[in-house]
Amino acid sequence: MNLFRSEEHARRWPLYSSAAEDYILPISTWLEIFSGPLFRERLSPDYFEKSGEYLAQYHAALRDAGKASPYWNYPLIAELDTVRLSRYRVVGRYTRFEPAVLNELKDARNRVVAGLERHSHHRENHLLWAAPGSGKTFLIEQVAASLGESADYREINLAKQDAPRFEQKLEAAVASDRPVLCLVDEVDAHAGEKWPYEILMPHLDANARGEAHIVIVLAGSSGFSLEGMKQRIAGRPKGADVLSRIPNANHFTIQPLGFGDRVLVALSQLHEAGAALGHEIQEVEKLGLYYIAVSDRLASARQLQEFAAAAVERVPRGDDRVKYDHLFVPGDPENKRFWIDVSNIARDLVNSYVVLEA
Amino acid sequence: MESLAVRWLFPGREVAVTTPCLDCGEVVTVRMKDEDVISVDPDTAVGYQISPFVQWREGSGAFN
Repeated sequence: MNLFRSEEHARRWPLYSSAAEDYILPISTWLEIFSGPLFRERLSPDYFEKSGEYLAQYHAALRDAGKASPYWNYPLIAELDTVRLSRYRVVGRYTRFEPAVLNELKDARNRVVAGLERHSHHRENHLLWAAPGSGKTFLIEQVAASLGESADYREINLAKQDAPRFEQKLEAAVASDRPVLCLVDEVDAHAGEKWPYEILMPHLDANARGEAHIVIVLAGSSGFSLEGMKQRIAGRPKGADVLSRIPNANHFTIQPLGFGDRVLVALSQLHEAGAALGHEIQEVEKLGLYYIAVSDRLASARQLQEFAAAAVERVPRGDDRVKYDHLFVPGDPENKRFWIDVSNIARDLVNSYVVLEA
Repeated sequence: MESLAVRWLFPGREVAVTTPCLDCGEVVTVRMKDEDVISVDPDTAVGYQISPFVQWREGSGAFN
């Protein structure tokens, strides 16, 4: 066990891996986990006979702690029967698995959309903190896409702007003759400079002054949390003024993607790949789903999209099931290596299928 | 033996683990006795374990 004085210290460690961030836990939680028989019974004469039972209790303790890594989350897939993708939809193609996260984001989406559907003549600014990799840009893009021709969408990454370009892009956004949804990403970039918030400030008042019909979403991923990001913004020149122009009800967070979200993304990609190839996919073997959900080779949306398309191409015509073997080209050693590694704990995922509904 | 489980080798006795924080070098101290956590200093201290999820590709066993 690697011990640190706080979570921030752990994240600064050179060997820290974001892929294992679920394994940062308070020491008191680790002590509870290490109270199980897998650890306390090591000197017992029947330890090895009972080790399978002890290991299962260890996994259960990790899940009870709420932060078990994807590797140990196979029971979630084992218990899946039918997945209706529309049930998990926030907007467009952006889905979330956990009901609390899903509902919080639906509420945020509604507030953004309401500001565009009618001109309120007060500030329609939002502050969004998103965990890295949780798809904040994709979420806002999907909100914009859901509005069709009724609104323009502008995306400005502050980190990539200098002062003149930033002002020019904001001016262009407020000058539109249609309602505008404007995402200002990496809003805490250029931390040592005054110009970002000096330029931004008047545009945050444009909707209230009736000069434009605009909803501005200020987004970032720094500071470990919404509160942390707000503290960083507040500490900058004009930062407090920027924050004062965002109603408290319009502050929201996108939680990190969990294991269930990775499963959903995997199912969505297989479904879409089938639709694109004219080959409807209705079932996915659970072991295959487990592989996709834990594989760090499939971390990006593009990697997953290409992988899903290749897998669907290997499914024989007339079959509507994606099996584990369809994920690999014949002879790929990855197939056997993964199976050997998980066969002791995930055997019941073989020849068992999740039914997929759009 | 895992440092936070070493107490099971000394039933009924208080065990203290004192170690430098791997980030800043300041001391982290955990005092425990059987099921009980006597103290954690500082109380913000965390444990971090590189999970087998990260390592399985290098051939580490699932039993970890």
